[in-house]
Amino acid sequence: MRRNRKRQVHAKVLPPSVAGMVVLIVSMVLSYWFMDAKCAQLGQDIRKNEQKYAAFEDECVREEARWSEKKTPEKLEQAMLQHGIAMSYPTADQVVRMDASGQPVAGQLSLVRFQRNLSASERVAKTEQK
Amino acid sequence: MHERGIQIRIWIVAVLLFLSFCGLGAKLAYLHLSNHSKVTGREYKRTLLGLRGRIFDCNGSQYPMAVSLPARQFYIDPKSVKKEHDVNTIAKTVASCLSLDEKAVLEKFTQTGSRYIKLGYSLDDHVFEVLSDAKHISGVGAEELVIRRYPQGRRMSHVLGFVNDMGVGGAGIEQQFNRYLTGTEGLIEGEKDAGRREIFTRRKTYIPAIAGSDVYLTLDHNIQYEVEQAVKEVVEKFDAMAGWAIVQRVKTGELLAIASYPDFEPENYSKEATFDVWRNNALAIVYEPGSIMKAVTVSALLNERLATPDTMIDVGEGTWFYAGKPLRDHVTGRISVSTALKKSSNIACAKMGLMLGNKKLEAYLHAYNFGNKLGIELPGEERGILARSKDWDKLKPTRIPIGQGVAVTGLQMINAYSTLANDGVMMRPYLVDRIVSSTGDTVFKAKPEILGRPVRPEVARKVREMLIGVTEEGGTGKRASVAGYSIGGKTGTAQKAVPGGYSSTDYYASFVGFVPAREPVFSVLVTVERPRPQHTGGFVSAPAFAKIAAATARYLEIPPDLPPEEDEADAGQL
Repeated sequence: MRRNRKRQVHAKVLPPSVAGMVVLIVSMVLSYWFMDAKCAQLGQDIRKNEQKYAAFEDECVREEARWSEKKTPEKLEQAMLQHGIAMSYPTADQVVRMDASGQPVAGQLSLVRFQRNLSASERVAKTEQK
Repeated sequence: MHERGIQIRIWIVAVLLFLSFCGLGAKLAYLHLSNHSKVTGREYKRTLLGLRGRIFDCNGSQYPMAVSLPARQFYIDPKSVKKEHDVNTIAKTVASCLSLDEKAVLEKFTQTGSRYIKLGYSLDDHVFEVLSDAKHISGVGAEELVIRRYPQGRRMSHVLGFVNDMGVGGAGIEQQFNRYLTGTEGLIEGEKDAGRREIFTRRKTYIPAIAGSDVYLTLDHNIQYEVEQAVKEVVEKFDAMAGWAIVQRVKTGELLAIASYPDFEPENYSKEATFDVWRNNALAIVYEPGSIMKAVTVSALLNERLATPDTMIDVGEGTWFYAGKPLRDHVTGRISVSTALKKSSNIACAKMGLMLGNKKLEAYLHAYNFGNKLGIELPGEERGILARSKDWDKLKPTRIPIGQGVAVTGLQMINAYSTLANDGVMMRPYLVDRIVSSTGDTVFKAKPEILGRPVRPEVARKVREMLIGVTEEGGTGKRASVAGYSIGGKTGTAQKAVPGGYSSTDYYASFVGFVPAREPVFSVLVTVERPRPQHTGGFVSAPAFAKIAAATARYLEIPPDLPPEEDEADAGQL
């Protein structure tokens, strides 16, 4: 059958109002899907970050506990002994007590007293030994 | 006709599209507005663990004494091991991850009678990742768990106490402040996906967990370390049954250290210890104090103006009969009240008791809080034994002044000496400084509290002066002296009460005193139960006192109060 090429069809495909409605609905659905996907993604990220945060918090608590275990007085003593350091309180001749003016406190053992007791000859001898 | 057909078809498609979109819209509205859980049946519910509060010493959050750590408890379900997985490989991985014996783990996989066989816990997230790798591991499950950890091990074990398997405090601070320390669980409710993961956008309820409040103690772990070391040494050296020591700040009553030996590890409280070991002897053992009670007697006598430090008392030839019973003494002749205290004369102090009379003696004992609890924030405090004066026999007023016929706790005794050191003002002993909630709000703050004023300030000062003599040449407590510091204190040796009388072999050896004696800052009590072969307070407890006092004075940066000549003599000896 031959086709009449001159013939023009002026059919109304879809009324503008209906087309508009369809476009509106489709765009709404698409935007909903887009936002829903975005929200789901954000939710996923929040959940993961929440878990990460909780894990970091837990790790922080554990690390603090581990650190506390390492710095107990006996552990510190052991660590120092491993490096050949033995700490003790200073002996009386190693203590200098001073008042607010920077002078040795009267009646207390002081550097002055220490130096006086350590005679010049002893000092020379010690220097020579070095 | 043709155009009309096209139009009809277009309309049909449009209507169908419209209807399908309406259907989708309706479904969307339904899903969003209706109850999801009923729609999907995929409820997600997760309980968030509220960590138990921490316990710190007086140095604050840098030194936690007790913490709660999130961990995972692993278990085996032998029936859920997949066929494609090798049990030996799983057992090997589990054993290496949890530091267990491989054979023991493998054996557990053969126990098909149970679907929940506990393996152990791990604090390491990496272990969880390895053991939850579904590609290589099956039949191993994990559940969240909170474990209580004590970073300093045995330190302050009697003060801290322990937490039982139910997460409830079973002794010490853990028990006493359980309601503050206990955290509140949180909750997440919503929906889960096919992989059992929560769908965040469907979360309905989120109640965050609230951690328990933190308890800050007045105790100092550095002083506590010295005290525990000293007590352990003295108990082991003298093959004693037990020992305890307390360090108290005299102006406020706060405790700086309180130690008892044998001690235990709070984390393994049930494995290695018994009730006797859990007991905090410093406040739960009631014993006859012996001669350390004499300072209380002398203070009462001076406060009543019945004598002065120079008043002379005749102690005879070393044996005094009263109410048909002999009382022996190593001191003879006429001695002053001051010398009676320095030499620890039994007869002189017994006569002081008679000078006071029953009513007044009882009144002073009550004024010093003997026979009553001091109200420290620890469970198990005893009130001691002090009979009413109307029930006393004729002998009692001569025996109580020398520390017999009355039973006290170590805490009561040190508090009495702290009262003398604090110019006669008795403070309530306490060891909890504050409680801070997880939000940072202070829910409790301790304040020094005056319990009473049993003696006048000048009387307390006089007794202090007399007690200095005890640690000087000729005194019974010379071994308690510390280089650079004046020490006031008293030795005490008391026979242990046994059914029907007193033991002839078992004693309580004590020393209690304060440092520096002229301007006291802190007081120390050391008591050793059943030391052997030596048993006197001056020989057994005084050196331990000296060790504790020296370390504490240096740690608290208390300047020495003795002139350098004396200082130099024992320089460096701690």
